[in-house]
Amino acid sequence: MIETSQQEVEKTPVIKIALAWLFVSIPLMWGIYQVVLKSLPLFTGS
Amino acid sequence: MHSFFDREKTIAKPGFSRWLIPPAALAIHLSIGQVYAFSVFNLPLSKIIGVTESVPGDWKLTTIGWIFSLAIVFLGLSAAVFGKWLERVGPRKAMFLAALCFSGGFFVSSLGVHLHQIWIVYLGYGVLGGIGLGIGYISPVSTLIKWFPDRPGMATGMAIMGFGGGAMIGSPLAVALLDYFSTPISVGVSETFLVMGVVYFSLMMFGVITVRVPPKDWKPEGYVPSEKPRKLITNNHVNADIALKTPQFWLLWVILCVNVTAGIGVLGQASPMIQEMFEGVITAEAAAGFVGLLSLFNLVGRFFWSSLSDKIGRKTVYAIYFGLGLLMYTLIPSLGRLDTAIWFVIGFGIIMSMYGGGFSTIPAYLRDLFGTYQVGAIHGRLLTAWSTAGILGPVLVNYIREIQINAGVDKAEAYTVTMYIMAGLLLIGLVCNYLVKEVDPKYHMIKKKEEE
Repeated sequence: MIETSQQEVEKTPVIKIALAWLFVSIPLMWGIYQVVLKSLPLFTGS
Repeated sequence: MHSFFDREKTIAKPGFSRWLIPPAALAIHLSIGQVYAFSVFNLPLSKIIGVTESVPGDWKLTTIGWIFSLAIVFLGLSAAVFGKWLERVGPRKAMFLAALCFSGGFFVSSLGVHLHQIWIVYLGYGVLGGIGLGIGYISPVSTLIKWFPDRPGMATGMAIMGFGGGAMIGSPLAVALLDYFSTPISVGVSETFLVMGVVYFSLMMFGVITVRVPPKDWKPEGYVPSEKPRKLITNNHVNADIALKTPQFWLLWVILCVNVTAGIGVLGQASPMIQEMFEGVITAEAAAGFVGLLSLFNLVGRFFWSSLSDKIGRKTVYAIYFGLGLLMYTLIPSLGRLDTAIWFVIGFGIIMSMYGGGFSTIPAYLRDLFGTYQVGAIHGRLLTAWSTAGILGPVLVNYIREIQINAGVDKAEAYTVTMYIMAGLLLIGLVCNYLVKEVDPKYHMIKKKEEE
């Protein structure tokens, strides 16, 4: 980010970015997992 | 309290990481994407009085079907109407309104189900929820484009991928809640709506709190905008009202409309189509698995194709969607005559990935042609193409199929004409995409100011 001399700098901690991604990834991964489970009969033929 | 939602309060301070914006956008899109899983409620809603089976006085499936249709229509309308307002007030206020409307839609619908008044459900999920969908859809997209000028396709792909993922979460979540709340005297829809309203409001509020807009003239570290004008990518801006007067806007409108019409049209038929084309090979359960797999292709396509468009250009990507799509739709009837379903599944998967890609690449295409100034508002107006396709696609496919079957054509063969008509639609898209050129400089805002 281009810095301006007058404004205070608030560097975003990496952990905050990681937690934010985790927060939205968990439901998304759960949803994908459910779809994969649902798709299995197509390959197993049952 | 009010100041927290003001645009000025959302301007990022130096040091803020733009990588917090995609999760904020995803929180909104993962929530509103639930709309594509609304069909989970169709059967329970048709048994509110009878509980175990539909009885006289229960709502018919055709009556219930209007809830989803209304939501999609109001998605397009609200995105078109509120786009300019969003650009003025900033994403936080818009996302907050989207959260209030979308979750409010669930609460009002819960009351409607409790009182067994369908008009309250129409007003709740259909109108109020639909408005939340429209505002929620465009708010994070416009913000992401401003944060990622170097990779607008990838950024919008991430958010719109969330919309595809929303249905994957919404469907099993609703099933689990319905199981939990159902009793011998209730199907549990009213309670499920209440809980879903709270869950989605909380998830969307994460986006509201996290979102920021970049300061004026901010650029990512190391990013130097190209001095040389690149083909079809402008450094100028076009006002949303002026954009409507350009042929480019209407060409993109047709491009989105035909891409979505073709995709929606076959998506709704995917399960019976594979069962009838591979009779005795594909069971109803395997067909349900096929539909699930298609939604995965749709999800991945939203991110893959949109990211690829940053490298090879939007026009090339759309040429692939329409060119390859045309080939695939033409081939599907032949693939359906093979002994194995694998090529049919792969062919359909590619079609669905491009259907998803068509949604996620369009905001970056708009940004290329019209600049970032009011891209959210322009995107909102373009989404009326989606609403149109939402009605056109299923009607077209069902109508053609009915005519074919009434004329004595075999059920499995009746899909052939449908596929060829869809291929014809993609040909229209291919031509429109070919006709897209740079916006005439007379429409640029800076140029206009100079003239004044």
